[in-house]
Amino acid sequence: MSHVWVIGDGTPAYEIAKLAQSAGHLVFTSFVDEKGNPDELIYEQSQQGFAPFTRQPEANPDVIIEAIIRKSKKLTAWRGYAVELRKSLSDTPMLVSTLSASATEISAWVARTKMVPRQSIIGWATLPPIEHSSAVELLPTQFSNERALGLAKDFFTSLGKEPVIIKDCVGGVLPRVVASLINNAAYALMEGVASAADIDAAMKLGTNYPYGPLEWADKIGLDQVLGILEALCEAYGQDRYQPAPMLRQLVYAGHWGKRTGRGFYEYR
Amino acid sequence: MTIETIKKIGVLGSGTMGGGIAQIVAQSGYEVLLYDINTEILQKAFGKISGFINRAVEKGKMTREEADAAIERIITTTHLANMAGCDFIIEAVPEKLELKQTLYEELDTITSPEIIMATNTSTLSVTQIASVTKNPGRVVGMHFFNPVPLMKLVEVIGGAISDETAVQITVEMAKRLGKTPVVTKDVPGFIVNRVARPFYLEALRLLEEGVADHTTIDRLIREGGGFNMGPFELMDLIGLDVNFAASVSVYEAYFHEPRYRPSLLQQRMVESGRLGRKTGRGWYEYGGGEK
Repeated sequence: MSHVWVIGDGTPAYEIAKLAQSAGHLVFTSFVDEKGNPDELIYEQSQQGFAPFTRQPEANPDVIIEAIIRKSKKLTAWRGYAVELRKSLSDTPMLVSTLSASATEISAWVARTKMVPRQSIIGWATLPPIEHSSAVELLPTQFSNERALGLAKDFFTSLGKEPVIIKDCVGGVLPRVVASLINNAAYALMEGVASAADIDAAMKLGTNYPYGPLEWADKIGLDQVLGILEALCEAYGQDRYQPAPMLRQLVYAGHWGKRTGRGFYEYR
Repeated sequence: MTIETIKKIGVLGSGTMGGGIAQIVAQSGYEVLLYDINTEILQKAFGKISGFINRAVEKGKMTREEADAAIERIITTTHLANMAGCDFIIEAVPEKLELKQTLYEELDTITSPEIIMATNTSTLSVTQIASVTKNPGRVVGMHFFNPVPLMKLVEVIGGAISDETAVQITVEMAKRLGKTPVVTKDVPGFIVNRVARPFYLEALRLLEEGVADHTTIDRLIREGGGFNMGPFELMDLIGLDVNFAASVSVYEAYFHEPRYRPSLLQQRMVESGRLGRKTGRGWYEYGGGEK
């Protein structure tokens, strides 16, 4: 059993905390508010069944895993945490979500605080429902050391996920492919090509996808999907990742998918 | 006209798609008039269809009597004029606009003006096909997927000037043929061939960038995402040339929308002749008797 700290604000953070807990780890969760301030629990569901994050846990964490959705929020939070937790962090692997920034970029922010060694930082990427995926992407940077990578692998192996190493980038393989599919489906919906249900049915029956792209977006969280697309837009500076205005509108309206009761579909 | 009055369905074109359509139409209890340009082609197609139906009996999916009745319901013809007796037309001739337009011009004079004419197309504009007829409201799209008897999906396409009732009756027809219809506007690629583009294109970009090799990308899509096949395995199955042509066609049709920009890497692969399973090598190598 390890002490795992989960820092985040969306479905991936919630799911990883849940999985770590069922795998027998002692899990501390810290959810981040809109401005990037730590410790504001904005994720209602997380209040049930999780030990709340405390500033001085009984033991040093063995693994820190972060999944903050928006890049701006992530930046603030990481700077904050890096200062706050410096004493205990020299040997702790820090798994940072590459869904909104590459691990190398996050290393640069953290290195600037001179409090946390960038050798401990490893990127990770996958998409909800994490429960159903048997492989997780690990994105070490050129600074990551073997020890941190080894511990990162051990952590995901303990959750029953096989770690697969890829080159550090924004997004990772699965999130980039799926976010692009969702964005394209959102454009089709926005343009009135077909209904959400028909778009999803067509993709499941016509191409054998595990979920329709729009229902998948509702599972992932529309806020997270937008976070991936915005990060890709910034990293590549290309129009191909431009989020569908409809996706943005839904996020602004607070319709983030299943966990808010409404996204592309309504849930009761 | 209503769905109940439809008894006899004309199927035009007896290739892979037309043959499959004729088969499911006959199996659903309708009389089929299967048209093609010569008797030789038709005989071959009829042999194939009855072969598939007989195999369904062997597999226990149908009784001998049902199979015989279905086969008996199929009549072949090389005379387009015979389509006058049909209550619904499904056309599945090769995907050439001029060929289809010529055919619809003729059909327009042969069939009565309230009969729905559904075109099976994956790349052409239904509106453009319909435009040559006097009553374009009755022309809709009916995009079946290959193999027709197995694939549940049918995209029903309402052209820009299709009648809403024609679309609704076609939806009902697809259901009666045992399919799951979805309704789409007449846009390039409709739903599936449009929405699926990034599955290939984004994977190709990841490969070009060196984020991971094609084997790793496929694995992550399968094991991480729960897809049955990774994008590179799927391209090999579809044929790299066919897949590339689809990307190019969608990109052109959307006036160079950046989301659909084709991949140079894939173009080079096509140029090299490594087209996938059919040539024995694409992204992967295939042994075991395959050419």
